[in-house]
Amino acid sequence: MVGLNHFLVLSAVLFCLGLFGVITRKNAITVLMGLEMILNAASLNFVAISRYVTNAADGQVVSLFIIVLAASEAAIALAIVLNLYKNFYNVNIDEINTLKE
Amino acid sequence: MNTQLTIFQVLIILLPLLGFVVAILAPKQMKKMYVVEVGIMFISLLLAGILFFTKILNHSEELVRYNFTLFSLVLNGESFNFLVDLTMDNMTVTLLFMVTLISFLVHFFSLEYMHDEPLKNRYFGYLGLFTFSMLGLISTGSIMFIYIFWELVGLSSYLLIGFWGYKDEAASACSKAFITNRVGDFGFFLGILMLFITYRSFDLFYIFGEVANGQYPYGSELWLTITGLLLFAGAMGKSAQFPLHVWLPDAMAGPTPVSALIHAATMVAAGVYMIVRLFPIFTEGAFLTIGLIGGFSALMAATIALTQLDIKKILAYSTVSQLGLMVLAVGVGAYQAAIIHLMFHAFFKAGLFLGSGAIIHATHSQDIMDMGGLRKKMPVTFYTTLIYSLALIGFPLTIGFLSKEMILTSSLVLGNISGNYIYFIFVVLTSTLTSFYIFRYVFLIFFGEPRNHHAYEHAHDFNIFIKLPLILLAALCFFFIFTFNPITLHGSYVTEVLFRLPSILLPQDVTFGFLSSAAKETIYTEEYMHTMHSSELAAMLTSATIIIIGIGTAWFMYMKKKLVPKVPDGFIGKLYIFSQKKWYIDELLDVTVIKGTFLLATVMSWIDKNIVDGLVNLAARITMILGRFGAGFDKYVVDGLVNLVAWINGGLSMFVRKFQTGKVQTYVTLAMVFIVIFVMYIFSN
Repeated sequence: MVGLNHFLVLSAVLFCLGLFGVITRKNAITVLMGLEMILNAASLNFVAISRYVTNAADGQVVSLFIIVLAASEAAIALAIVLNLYKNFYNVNIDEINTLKE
Repeated sequence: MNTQLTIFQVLIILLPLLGFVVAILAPKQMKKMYVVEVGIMFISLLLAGILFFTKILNHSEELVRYNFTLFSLVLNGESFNFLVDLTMDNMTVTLLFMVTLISFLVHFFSLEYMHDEPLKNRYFGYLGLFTFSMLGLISTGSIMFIYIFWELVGLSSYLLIGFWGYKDEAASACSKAFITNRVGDFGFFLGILMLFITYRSFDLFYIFGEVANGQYPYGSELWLTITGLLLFAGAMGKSAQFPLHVWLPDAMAGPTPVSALIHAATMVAAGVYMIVRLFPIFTEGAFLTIGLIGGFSALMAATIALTQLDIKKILAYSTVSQLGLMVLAVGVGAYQAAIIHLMFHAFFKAGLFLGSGAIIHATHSQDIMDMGGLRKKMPVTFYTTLIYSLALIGFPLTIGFLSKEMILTSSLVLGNISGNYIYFIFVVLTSTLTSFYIFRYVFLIFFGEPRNHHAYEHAHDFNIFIKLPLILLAALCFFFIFTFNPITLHGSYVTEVLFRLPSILLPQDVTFGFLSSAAKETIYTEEYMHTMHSSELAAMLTSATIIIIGIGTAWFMYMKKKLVPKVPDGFIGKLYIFSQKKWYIDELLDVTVIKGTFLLATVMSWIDKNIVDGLVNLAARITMILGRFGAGFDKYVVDGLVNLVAWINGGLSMFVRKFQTGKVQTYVTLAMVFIVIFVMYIFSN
C-alpha cells in the first residue's frame, strides 16, 4: 500500500537531485532544470499532504500556482540566460561574476 | 586804528612768504620769476617803513595785540585755547623795519652776486622764506609761535647754507648747522614745556605777570632758573654761543649774501632777540650763566678771529664774538644795550659781509693771501668796509661806539656795584682783540702790495647792485641817524622810544648781587643810575684806549713791518696755531660727541644684533619647535586615529570581501547550509 511517507521520500529525493543539479552544474540551463526539479518536489509535497492529511483541494490549488509560477519563472530565466549569452558569449555561471568587482 | 596796524603787520609778514611761493612754484620756463620775489620784498619793506613811522609817531605807547583761537583742547578737565597771536610793540616794528631793510638789500645785492647761478628762482624763494620766518618770530607774543618760527628759521638757514649742496663742504655745513641747532632747540622746547605746565599758557605777557607775582615753577626759584637756562640753550644754538657756536663758521659755505642775512638780520639775531624778549623770567642764576657764557664766547671767538686766513671765517668769528657781547649784555641786565647792539651790529656786519662778497666776487678767492692792495681797485668797497670796521670796533661818531659804550658802561656799573669786574674784563679784552683783527682784515686786504697779481688785475667795483647796498649800509653806520648826541644814546629816541619795552616787560626786582651779598641792588635804582653816569666817562676812556691799542698793533704789524700772516716761532707760535685751529673745539667735539655718538651707535647696533635679534630668533626657534611638535602630533596622533579607523574598516572589508566570491553556486550552498542549520535549530527546540 502506497502511503504518505513514500511520497515524502520521493519528494525529498527529487529535491536533493534538484539541489545537487543547482549546486554542481556549470551550465545555466542545467541549473534552471535543477530549479524546476526543486519546484516539482515542493509541488509533490503539497499534493501528497492535501490528499493524506487535510483531504481537501487546497494543496492542489497551491501546486497549480507553483506550476504557473514555474512557467513564468522559466520564461524570465531563459530571457536572462539569452541576455547573458549576448553579453558574455557563454552561459557558464562560474565565469559570470562581474558583480564581484 | 589798531586793526589797521595789525593788517599792515600781517601783510609785512606774509608778503615774503608769497614771494617764496611764487618763486618756488614758478614753472621752469619762467626763469625771471625771482624778480617778482625781489619786488614783493620791496613792497614788504615799504609797508614796514610805513608801519614803523605810524606806530612810532602815533601809537608809541601802545602794545598792539591781536589774537584768535585756533583750536581748543581740554586737558585734565580744564580747557585750553591755542591762540594765534600777533603782538607789536616798538621793538617789534623797529626790528621788522630793520629785517626787511637788510633782507631787501641782500636781495638787491644778490641780483648781481648770483648772476651766473642757474637756480635763481629757488635761491630767492629761500631768501623769502628766511625773511618770512624771522618776521614771524619777532611779531608774536606767544612762545609757541616763537618756537614755530624759530624752527622755520632753522629750516630755511639749512636750505640756504646747503644751497650749493653739490659741494661736500656745503652739504656737511648745512647738516652741522641744523644738528647743532637741534641740540639747543631741544632745551628751548623743554623750557617751553616747563612754562606751559606751570602757567598753562603760551602767552609771554601773561607769564611775565605771573612771574612778577611770584608764581614760580614748582614754587621754587631754582626751577625758574632751570627753565630760563633751558630757554637760553635755544638761544645758544641760534646765536652761536659756546659750545654750540661751531656751526656758524662752517655756515660760510653758503652764498655770501646769505651769510650777510644770517649774521645780521635773521638767524643769529633770533637768539638774542629771544633772550631780550624773555628778559623778565630770568633769575640771578640764569643771568650769571648767560653773562659768563656770553663773555667767554666773545673772548674765545675774538682770539680765533685773530689768525684766520679765510676772510669770511674772520667775519664769522667776529659775529660769534659780537653776539657773545650781546648775550653778556643781557647777562648784566642791560637788555637795551643788547638789542640796540643787535640792530647796529646788523647794519655794519651785513655791510662787512656784503663787502667781503664783493671782494670774493672780484677775486674769486676767499683766501686773504690772494688779496692786498685792493684799495685802489675797489674804492667803494674799501671806504665802506673801512666805515663798517670803525663801527665794529666802536670808533667815535659811529653807531658801534654808541652801542658798545652802553655794553661797556653796563658791565662797568655792575662791577662798581657788585665788585664783580669779570664781565668788564671780558668786554675790554674782546674789544681790544676786535679792533686788532678787523684792522688786520682791512690792512691785509686793501693795503700793501698785491699778493696775487692775477686776482688784482681783475678786481674792480661792480655795478649799482653791489654799490648801493654797501653805501646805504655805510650811511646807516653814522651816529646822526639815531641820535643828535655823538657821545651817548641816553635820552635819544632809540632808547626812549624804539627799544623802550612796555612797562610790563620791565623787571621789577631783578637783583645782580650774586657775588657780593652786600651789593644786592636793583638795577633800576637811583644808585644804579648814579653809578651809570659816573661810569660813562671811564667807559669811554677805556673804549678809546682799546681802539688805539688794537689799531696801533695791527698797523705796526701789517703796515709798518709788512708782516705776512704765518706761524711765528716759539711759544707765540703754539698760541697762534691754537687760535688758528679754533681752540681745537671741532676736534674736541669730534673726539667726544661725534665719536661718542658713533660708539653709542656701535653698541646699540651690537645690542640690536645680538640681544634684540637674539630674542626674536629665540622666539622664532621656540615657535618652530612648538610647530614641529604640533606637526608630529597632527601627523601621528590625529592622522593616526583617522588612519586607524580606515585601517580597521579596510581590514573588516577585506575579511567580508572573501565571502563575495561571485559564484552563485557557493551562495546557494551556503544559503542551504544555513537554512538547514536554522531548521534544525527550530526543530530541536
